[in-house]
Amino acid sequence: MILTAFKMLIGNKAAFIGVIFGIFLAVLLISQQSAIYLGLVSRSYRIVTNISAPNIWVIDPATQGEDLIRSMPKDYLQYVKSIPNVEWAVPVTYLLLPLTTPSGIFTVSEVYGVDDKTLVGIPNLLEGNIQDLYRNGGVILDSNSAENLLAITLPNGEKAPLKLGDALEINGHRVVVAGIAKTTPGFFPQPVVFMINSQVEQFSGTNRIQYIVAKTRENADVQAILNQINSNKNMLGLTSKQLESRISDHFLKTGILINYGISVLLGMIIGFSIAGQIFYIMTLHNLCYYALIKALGGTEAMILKMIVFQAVVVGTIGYILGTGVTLLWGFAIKGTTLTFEFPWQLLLLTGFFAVIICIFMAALSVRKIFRLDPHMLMVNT
Amino acid sequence: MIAVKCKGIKKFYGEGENKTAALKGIDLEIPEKKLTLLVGPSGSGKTTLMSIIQTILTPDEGDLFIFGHHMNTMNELEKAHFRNENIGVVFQALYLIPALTVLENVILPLTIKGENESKAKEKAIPILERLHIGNKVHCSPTQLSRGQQQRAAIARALMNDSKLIVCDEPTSALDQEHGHACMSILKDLVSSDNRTVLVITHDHRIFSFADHIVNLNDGLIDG
Repeated sequence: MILTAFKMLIGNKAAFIGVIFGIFLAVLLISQQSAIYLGLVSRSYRIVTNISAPNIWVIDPATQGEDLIRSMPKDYLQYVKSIPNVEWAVPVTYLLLPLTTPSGIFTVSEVYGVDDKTLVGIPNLLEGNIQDLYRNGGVILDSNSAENLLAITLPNGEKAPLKLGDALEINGHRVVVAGIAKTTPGFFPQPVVFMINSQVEQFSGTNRIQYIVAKTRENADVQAILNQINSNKNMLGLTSKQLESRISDHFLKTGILINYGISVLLGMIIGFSIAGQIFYIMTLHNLCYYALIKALGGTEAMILKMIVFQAVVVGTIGYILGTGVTLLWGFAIKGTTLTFEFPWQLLLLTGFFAVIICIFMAALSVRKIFRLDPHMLMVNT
Repeated sequence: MIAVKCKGIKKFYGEGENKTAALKGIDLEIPEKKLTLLVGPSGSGKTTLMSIIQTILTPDEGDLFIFGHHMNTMNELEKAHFRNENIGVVFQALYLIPALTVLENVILPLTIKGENESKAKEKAIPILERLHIGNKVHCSPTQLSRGQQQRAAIARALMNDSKLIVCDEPTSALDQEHGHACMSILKDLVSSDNRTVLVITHDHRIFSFADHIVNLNDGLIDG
């Protein structure tokens, strides 16, 4: 009867396409909005993602995210370094400083200062030599800024990307592009600049630091080390995951979670209203044939299986199309500043919502089936 | 031998003041291997009685026996299996599923039974050829004339080797020539296949085909 159910499903092409389109739209909206939401959340804690070497982060207890950072005295570093089983600890500074290009572009740049000795925190370079950071005014610039934001406009109107050796001005100091690296973009189209801490101190006139990053020895009790850091009330020690959560929790206070929830709700409403309604009408259209099956000796369980099978077929096709288009979209915007994060768990989440829509669709129709009286075949002539 | 036996069958519709008796106590015996016509004016209860005999409607009172089986003692699932194996039905509106081919429609009772599809098709072809629509097996029912659709519905009723074939107004939409052709087929099922055929009709043109005529009037058997 499964084949019969399938033929009855595709027999009404307009309804078949309509139901699939409804589920496709719902899945597309849910998966695409989820991917954008996750992309935004992951950007909020991009400092943790970009600097992957440490497993412990130390911040001021008032620090919540990059928009709410309280700096710490540099000598806190010695305290962290002195804790047993801490293999190494280095400072990371984070400041917003004005940046000007020779062509006159003015913007505010995110400046990361890394430890002079170890250079922990420098991303992988696409171009340039990391040792050039030690040259006077040497900086590493993110590729997106080099290619787009800070690109030089030529007399013919074309844009020429910044290249190694090009000069810029940061907070009134001349710097030279010593390397170009791929970094996770922030929320705003701002250049991301890396330089050594001593240079940041010179440019900003302060020697306070925003983060201390540390690596524990192998098999060390990380929690014990964190407890020791946290025994100093002026510091907060966190694992990388804990810092990610702290920053993203702060980010979620913007209300983005509610907006995301509304998007998912809209997706569900679209799924319920378009797919649910068309599927229900399709079942009503076929009701006399289900009554016929009952009259010819079919059981309710058999018809239930047919309905569920039909819901599964349209649900699966709609789900594949919806997630497929979302993934294609993600592929298309790869490398741009648009946010998109599609972990495998999102496939499950979207699948879960698709199943809910299918259950709703099938349940609407099944209610009708259970009330189906084959005697209607004799009366409705 | 008796194919169908009704004892004191009553059926009511509605409730309270609106309660109406469709069947007021039917005592009826339909002989086996005969063509019986159930006739009567509109509203006489023919359709209700046919539905009860098909076991798709349960009487409020009385007993129904089909080939000796007491239907009142069966639950819905048992009735469904019984219907599938013993009763073939030709509905007035035919109910051929347009999404399926003629052949797929015809084998539907066997598909429901869970029989192998290719074997079911092998069984269906001779029946369709016997009914002169062997060349229409892969057509959609919508491509068939009304007479051909009627024959496809008859073929479907024959598929499960049911001993009882119930037809609801089989000639109502056919002209005299096609109506007679249809009745000839049904008559042939009785004489050649030893099946019992029960036809609900008010078409007097086909009365001559009957072995036995039952008159129903105002919910009671006449005479």
